[in-house]
Amino acid sequence: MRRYAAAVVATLGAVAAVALLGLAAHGQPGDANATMRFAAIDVFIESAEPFAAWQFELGERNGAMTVVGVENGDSAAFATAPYYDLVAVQQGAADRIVVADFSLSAAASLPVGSTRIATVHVRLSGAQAPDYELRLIAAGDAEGRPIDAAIRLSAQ
Amino acid sequence: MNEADQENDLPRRIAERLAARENAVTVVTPHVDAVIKRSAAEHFAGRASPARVAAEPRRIRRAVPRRWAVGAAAAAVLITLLVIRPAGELGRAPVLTDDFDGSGRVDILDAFAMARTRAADPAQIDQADIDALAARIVSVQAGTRTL
Repeated sequence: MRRYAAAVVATLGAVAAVALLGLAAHGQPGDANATMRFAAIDVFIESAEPFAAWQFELGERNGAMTVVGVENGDSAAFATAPYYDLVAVQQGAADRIVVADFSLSAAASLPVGSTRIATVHVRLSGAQAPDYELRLIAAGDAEGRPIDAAIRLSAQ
Repeated sequence: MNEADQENDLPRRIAERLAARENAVTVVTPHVDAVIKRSAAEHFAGRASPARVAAEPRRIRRAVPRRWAVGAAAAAVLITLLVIRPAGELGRAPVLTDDFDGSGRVDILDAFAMARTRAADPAQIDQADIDALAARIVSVQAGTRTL
């Protein structure tokens, strides 16, 4: 009986050891994955007058960001994908991104107020919180004249 | 020989020397003079004037270093472009000629101005040129960094 109990304990111990080893082995890539995640950054323009063209640059101060994709915003006037460096994104070399677009739509069809103009999908590395840097380079009205506008982002 | 001749009569030796000199003088008629001038002008046409020839050495001395300086500067710029910037990036960055709207800066408003011009008259601008300019503007490798 004692011998049987010792065998059971040994078996359980072995199983537990294997389980712990397995957890440890599984934990290594798990830690690496924990430092890399993806995020979507919505970029908005706020303008009191209809805007027909815009250009912004997005970066990350710690160098922890790699842009993996860009999609267009909500306005029907900017229905197609905006201009950006697609090659750099495809090569995984875009640690910053310049995005721009214009619309030949009539002024009445142009967005006004707070409008999501693009969503930038990024891969982040490191445990620290990203420190995004966003700058509006240009915004213009239907006649191509520069206008005063503000830009902001919302990270998901 | 009359009286006047006697008054003008010179000693023979002097008279002979004067006569010899007189024979040595070649009479140049206006016609001959004109022909000589014309021939000289044709012969020396295209040659530098004496004043220009005198000034030539200094001009050459000044011009040669200037040419070398310009050549050296051009070579330096070319080498800088080739060494500092990867070959693939040459010609990709927005340049001043891309300032289509004349604002003094190159941004999407220039591509927009081109697109508006094309919308008014498609024969003036190719869509490919607009896309190429927009590509240069958003390039993160060769474009202008603003952050």
